[in-house]
Amino acid sequence: MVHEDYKELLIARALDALDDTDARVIDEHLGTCAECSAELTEWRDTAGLLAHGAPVVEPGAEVGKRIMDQVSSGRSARSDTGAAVVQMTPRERMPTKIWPNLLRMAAAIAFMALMIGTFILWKRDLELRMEVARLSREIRSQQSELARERDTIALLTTLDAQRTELVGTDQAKKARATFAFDRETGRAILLTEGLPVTPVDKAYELWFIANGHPLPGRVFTVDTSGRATISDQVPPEAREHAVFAVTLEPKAGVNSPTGPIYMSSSVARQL
Amino acid sequence: MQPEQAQTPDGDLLRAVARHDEAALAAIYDRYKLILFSLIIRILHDRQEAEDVLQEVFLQVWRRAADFDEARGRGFTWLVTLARSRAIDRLRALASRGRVAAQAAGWVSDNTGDAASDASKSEQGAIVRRALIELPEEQQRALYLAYFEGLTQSEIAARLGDPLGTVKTRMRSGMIKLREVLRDKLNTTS
Repeated sequence: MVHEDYKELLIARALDALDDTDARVIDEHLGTCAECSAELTEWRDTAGLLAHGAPVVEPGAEVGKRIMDQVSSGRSARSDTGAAVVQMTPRERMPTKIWPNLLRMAAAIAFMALMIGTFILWKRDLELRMEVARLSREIRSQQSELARERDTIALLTTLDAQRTELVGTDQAKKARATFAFDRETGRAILLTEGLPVTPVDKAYELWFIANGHPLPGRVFTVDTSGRATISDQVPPEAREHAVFAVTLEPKAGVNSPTGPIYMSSSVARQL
Repeated sequence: MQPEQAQTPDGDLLRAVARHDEAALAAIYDRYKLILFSLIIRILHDRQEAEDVLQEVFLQVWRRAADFDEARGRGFTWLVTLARSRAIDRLRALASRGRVAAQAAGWVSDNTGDAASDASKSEQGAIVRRALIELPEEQQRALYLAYFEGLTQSEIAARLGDPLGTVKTRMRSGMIKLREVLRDKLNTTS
């Protein structure tokens, strides 16, 4: 656009009658052209006179009073920075605005406190539940251990109980065990100590050897001190003159011994 | 309101208002309440809304008088621009709620009689009104639609069913003629 094109837009700009695109174009030009800016000022003065084209109507007498009242109340509320502040809302209505704000703040604080309290209670409840579960497991474990010990004591104190000591072989020289069983019922118990810790893919297996034939018993593992308490059932054919032994076998156990003997009663090395 | 400080120029009064001189604001109000309220009610056609806008305008003058720069236009122009801008904003807000659409129609050229009968209230106003009456009706109509209803040239063309170029020419011719007439007459009276 040439300069004259911009000047063509000035009158309409003074009347705010340009479409947005033309208004942006002329406004950009006005930022760099003092001549057009001065001419626009003149056209705005002319456009302002069009206000006289309106029929003359007088405002109500109370309008001026309202304005001055608001100005006066605004001056009394002027900020420390000196900026004029006009109270657009009567000051006597302020408390009605303050209270809802305070109530909203109080409600927000109460809600937050409730949420925090709920979270703390929930967390405490969760901890208690976990503690109860842990204690329950411990009680069940202790009850189970107690039952086994009762069985052991009962078996060991039975008059008809047969007791046999097992001793470690070269595989486990410090190992030893007590094997007791009831001749009548076959109910038996093995108490070991000193056995090597069970390899991950292996397990110890108890054998009842009657007339030279090994019969498989329970498969078991030991704790870190080599201890284990195993209940089992001695087959009828092994309740008289039998030999007892423990071998290391695959984890699932086998029907015939394949691994080395770790403990045995007197003649089990014949396996 | 207090008695008008009749001899004080508008610029001086506005600078006093910028210093938070309530008496200066009262003087500005007394001097221009009639023309500004007439302009606002001409735009809004609703007395209650117009009084509300007039109040807003003077409170804005109180807050923003420091923005007035005499190098960029006369005090009267600054005040009228504020009032027109506020009134048109209100008009658009009301129009969006459908309150003034019916009233706006038919108010294009029915005001010259009233203007003439009120001419005695302001010498300058009387001169301007006579100058407006002298404009061809189509020029006057285009200017009024832009000034009192806030329409763009394209909207005026659509409203009147005239080509856009014709509307532009009428507005330009009307403004040039008005400026020439007023420049002569106002200079001779001032």
